[in-house]
Amino acid sequence: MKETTTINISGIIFHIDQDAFVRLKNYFAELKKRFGDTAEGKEIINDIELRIAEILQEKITDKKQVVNEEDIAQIIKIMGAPEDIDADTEEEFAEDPVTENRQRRLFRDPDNTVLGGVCSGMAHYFGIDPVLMRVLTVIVTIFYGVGFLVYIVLWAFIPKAETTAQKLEMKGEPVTANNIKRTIRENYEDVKNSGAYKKARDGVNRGASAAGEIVSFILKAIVIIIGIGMVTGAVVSIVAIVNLAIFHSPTIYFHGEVQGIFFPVLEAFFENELTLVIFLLSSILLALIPILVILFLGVKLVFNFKTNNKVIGLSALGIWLISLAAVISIGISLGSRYTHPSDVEETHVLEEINSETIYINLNEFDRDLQESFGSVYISENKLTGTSYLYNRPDFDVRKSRNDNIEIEITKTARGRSRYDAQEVASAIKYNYTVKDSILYIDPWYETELKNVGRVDDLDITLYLPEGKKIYFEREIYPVVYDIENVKHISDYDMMGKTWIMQPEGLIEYKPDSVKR
Amino acid sequence: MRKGILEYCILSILENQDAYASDIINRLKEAELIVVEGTLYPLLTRLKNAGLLKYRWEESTQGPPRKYYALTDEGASFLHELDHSWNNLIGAVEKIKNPEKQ
Repeated sequence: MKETTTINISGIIFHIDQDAFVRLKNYFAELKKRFGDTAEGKEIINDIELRIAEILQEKITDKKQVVNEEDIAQIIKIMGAPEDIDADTEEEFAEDPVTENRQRRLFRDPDNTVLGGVCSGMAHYFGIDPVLMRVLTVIVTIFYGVGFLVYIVLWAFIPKAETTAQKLEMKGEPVTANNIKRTIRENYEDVKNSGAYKKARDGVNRGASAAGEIVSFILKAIVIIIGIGMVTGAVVSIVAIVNLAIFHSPTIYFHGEVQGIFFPVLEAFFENELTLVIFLLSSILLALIPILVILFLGVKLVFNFKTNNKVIGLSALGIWLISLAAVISIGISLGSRYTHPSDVEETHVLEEINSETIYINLNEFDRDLQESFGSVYISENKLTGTSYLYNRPDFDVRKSRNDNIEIEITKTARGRSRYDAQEVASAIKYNYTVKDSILYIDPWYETELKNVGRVDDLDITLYLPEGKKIYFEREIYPVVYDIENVKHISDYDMMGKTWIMQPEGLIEYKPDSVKR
Repeated sequence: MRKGILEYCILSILENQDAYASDIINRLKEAELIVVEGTLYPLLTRLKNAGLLKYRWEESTQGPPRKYYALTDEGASFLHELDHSWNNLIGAVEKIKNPEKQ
């Protein structure tokens, strides 16, 4: 005699003896362990249950009404042990994206290309005509070439649909409201069926799960908004850089200036054209590569695609590091040209001047100056083709320590060393001429273009003995720098007047003051 | 080597007529492609979830209702592509095995 139980398999009632029941129960427990708690796993187990019910039904006759252990053993033999079922399928499917993910993915379409299949891939993703996508790209290209640039970037980033599975994914189900609803429902069911949810349901309330859904939806929306923001920001930055690099380069080369800085000056600043080009290129890459990374991340957040391009990522990193090294080394090399300041000083006695009053005026200057940057002007010598920089000297008057009228010229410059600085300083051209009682000084001092930025200053100081008089022509005002006088009268008001050196300093000379 | 072959066979069985799971099992067993029946169910479910198959329930006179499988449009076009790759593969293997015929 054996005890029997009644079981229900897929809606069919069976009588089953105790041993058979235990064995069948274990079989299902093992299947469950294999296929897991997912909706898919449950469906598989349900199908197997159906089939088992079918087979069992065939075994039941009027004479044999109870399912015994022998029947179950046969069924397990027919259906296969859980590990047999698994071995054939699980691994294969795990790697196969067709079955893993039915959502549409962004791929490049190799079967429909003009350049790299980016447009047709995008068109598949959005469910529009590739021609429309291409026209849009061309239109966007008209604006500063953005479309073309983004195209190149996407070409590099988006993987090509190579396998049939990827091509299917590329043309996969469009992202529609129904799809989203189904995905959410499936996710919801997964959550509902998981142990954690059951605990939560028993413990607290159902609201928590709904709130979780909403939070996850909001998070997804935020991710997409961030992605769009990143893409927009990156595109705007790229436009700015491209605009500067491509559309201003002709300005630099043909008109010789950008933002008021002449190209030759820039070139001289970098010692030679090659360094300048390397520096500019490296700077552009240094800025552009992180922007491209942001663009890539943004695109990845917005669209759903896998990347398989480690090479591009690594070479981008490599190029970025090389650019960084180039910018830093050029920067240090250039910076070292300015580390050591030094000056060259020369003093001459103006013996030619015997009169009581010395007149100060400017030498004639016939160069055609163009403003370069700040207070520095540039002029090209048409004969030799070399350019020179011109800057204003600082003219000052002080009391002489002896009875001579002396002129002192101090040239200050910077270099890699003290010696280098003095060489640069010596190369500064500045002249004065004396004619009768008039001292003519150059209105500008001249520097070779290659020494741009390395020349600090040129000071001319006239040492005037006590009792001597000096007259400043109005023309010299631009080179005058804060001439000290007893009554602290401003430079401008000192022009066009005669001054006399007194023990306490310069005071304005008036004929009646002499009589006193 | 069997990777994907079973799926291809299932789709091929369903190309000309819709079928019950047990029909498909019998065909595959005849061809000695599967030993145990259980193997088929995960494949069917996953092909269905991939959108390549669809099914409808049919009442059975003797037992529980049964799933009646059919190809979706996507499944049909996928099968078409598989046929293409399969023929390429056969051709390639033939070339390797009988080089003198070419």
